[in-house]
Amino acid sequence: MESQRTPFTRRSLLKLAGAGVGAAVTGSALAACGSGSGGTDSGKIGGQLSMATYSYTAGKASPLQKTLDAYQAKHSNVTFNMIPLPFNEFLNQEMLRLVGGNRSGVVQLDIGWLPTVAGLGVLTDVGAQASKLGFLDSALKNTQVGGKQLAFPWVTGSLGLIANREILDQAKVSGTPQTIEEFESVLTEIKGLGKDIIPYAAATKVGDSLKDFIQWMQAFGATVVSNRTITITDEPCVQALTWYKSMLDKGLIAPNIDRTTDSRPLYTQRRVGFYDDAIIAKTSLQIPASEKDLLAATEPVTRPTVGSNKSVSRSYGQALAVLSGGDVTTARDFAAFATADNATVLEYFKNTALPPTTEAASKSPQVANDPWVTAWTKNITTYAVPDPFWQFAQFAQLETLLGEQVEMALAGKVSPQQALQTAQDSMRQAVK
Amino acid sequence: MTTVDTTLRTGRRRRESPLQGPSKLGAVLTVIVLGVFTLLPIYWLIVTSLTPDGDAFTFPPRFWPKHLTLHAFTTFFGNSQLTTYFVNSVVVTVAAAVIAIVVSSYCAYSLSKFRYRGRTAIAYFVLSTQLFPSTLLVIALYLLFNSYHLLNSYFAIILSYSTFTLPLCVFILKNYFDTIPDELIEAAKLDGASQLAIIHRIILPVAKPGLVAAGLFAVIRSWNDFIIALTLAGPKTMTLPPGLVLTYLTQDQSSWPGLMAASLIVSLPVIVLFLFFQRHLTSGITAGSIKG
Repeated sequence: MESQRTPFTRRSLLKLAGAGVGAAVTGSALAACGSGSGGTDSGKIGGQLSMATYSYTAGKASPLQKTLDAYQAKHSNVTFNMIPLPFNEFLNQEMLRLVGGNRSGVVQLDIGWLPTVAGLGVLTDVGAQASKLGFLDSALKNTQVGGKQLAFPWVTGSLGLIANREILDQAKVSGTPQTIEEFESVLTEIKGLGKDIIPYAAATKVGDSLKDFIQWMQAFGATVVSNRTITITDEPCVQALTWYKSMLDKGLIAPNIDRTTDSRPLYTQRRVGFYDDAIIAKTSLQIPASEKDLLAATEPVTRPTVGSNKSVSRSYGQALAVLSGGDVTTARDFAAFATADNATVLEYFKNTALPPTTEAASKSPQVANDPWVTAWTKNITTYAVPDPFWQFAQFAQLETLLGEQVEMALAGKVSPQQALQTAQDSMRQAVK
Repeated sequence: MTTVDTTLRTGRRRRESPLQGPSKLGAVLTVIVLGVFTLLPIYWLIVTSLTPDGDAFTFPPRFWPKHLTLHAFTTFFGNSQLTTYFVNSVVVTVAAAVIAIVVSSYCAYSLSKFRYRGRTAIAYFVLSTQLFPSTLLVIALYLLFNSYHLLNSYFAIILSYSTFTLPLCVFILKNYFDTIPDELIEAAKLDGASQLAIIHRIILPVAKPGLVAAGLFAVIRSWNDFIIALTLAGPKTMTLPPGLVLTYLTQDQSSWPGLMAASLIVSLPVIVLFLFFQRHLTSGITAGSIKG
């Protein structure tokens, strides 16, 4: 076939393409840099309020909807623009929105995400208002970054160890273990039951929950982070990982376990003696109403430690932060209402079982007399400390780096010492 | 009885199987094992969708649930938000597929039937873009669309989907166009047809299988995409994949029977399309793969 003559040469086409791409990139970069206007404080409540949240699903009744309805009953001139995002993708998507200049309204945040989001400089200091609303001191502290109150605490709790009393009774274990040696002994008794029971469904797979291992390092006496220096190669950390590996070798924990996809479903099948979860375990386990005995047998227990070390659990909480763009008046007022209005927070507690953060609500009979909350607070929340890596903006990356090496050590590919050395080196590099 | 007798009697020659004895048994066993691996997850999906929420993780697992329920399906159809996600998915998928087919057919025709300097480089360049996962560009796309106030719109999602499906569509169609004899084009030119007439009246009608294959790939890729829809869409334009995650996999709960039922319903349109066009799909994909 005869060649078709074209008016373009390869060189001219490439020049044209290069110029076009360059113009587009430059234009977008300039436009993006120009985004994000500063906020105002008009003093007037009204208008459309954006809320980015992982606790809301359009078209489905949710506890949050009742909070929104209660606020709109008070301020009928406020309309909500809900931005629901899946929990596992929330931080990434929200960071993208904020970097892109969408900085008005309120945003629901896990307390661990606060330092990362605060690093963008888009959160309003709500200290003046929050200090007058009767929040628990510990809740206020969990939502401070660099000494500034950057969010209203919404719900509080912790993440710790849960036991199935039914299985403990079958293994003729009374009480709960206080030391690592007692814990291992109890797990061995449970293993003797056979029946495909996993004595302790500890996280052993890299993912969202292998960071639970950090609490075991702390239970062995490790500090992990001191003056922003990460140290996980000291004796307590190596002992913790060596012990964790030995538990796997003895069949007291199982490989490839993740909390959401494995531990929880296995627990509802009555195949787990102990596992780690947050205070939301009662709802996240999805135990059918017909199996109330399993629900009654689910006990929050204090994490055992080495020697006389104090027990440890990880702080858990959610907060509502006010973004600094747009008119902050309505956003701040709504956030304060949702987190501190007594009737509203107690209604939220009734539907979510997540404890409120104000002193008045915490002391109310509804919360104070709730057996689950009372037991959880006494056995777990009392010992709650923040995750040591939350102070770094790259905390998720650090936890992944640690989790990967822990998994390698559990698989026997490297020794615990080598695994922790590699993890420490890469984590220190990441925060430089 | 000879082979000739058999042929005369039946009017056709009975084909002898190339596999005999142990080889045939091995082949059958392999097919059965592969079939189980392929079909078991689909069976499990269907069974889980018919299981009550509380029974989804009973142990030991049952291959047939003790109680059957259509609750997950009725919940799906009763959720108006899911209907919105479904409509959004249809809109963006159809639009993206149409744009991808239209644009890629012209590009593929140029690469296949024209000879000019840089043709091969352009073809390789188009194909090389397949090396980059779309996830890599999501952040840049977000900032770009955000700066032009195009976020939360169908336009952003359709443009992104069209862009990411174009290279593969061009590749499929170019291979198909290569199989169309140049003599057809020569004959059309002799009859006085213009280039546009040649493309629209001769090449494209002949290339239907290729167009179907390219279209189906564009549909599947757009229908199943999660990260682009999650990043660029808003609550009103969100499509099914992120919508289902939002609905069924929340922070503290997962409704697996609901998700399985939704997944089954959502995959039906693509299955129906495949069944309808499977004849064209096979010839469209394999065109040009065997030298005649």
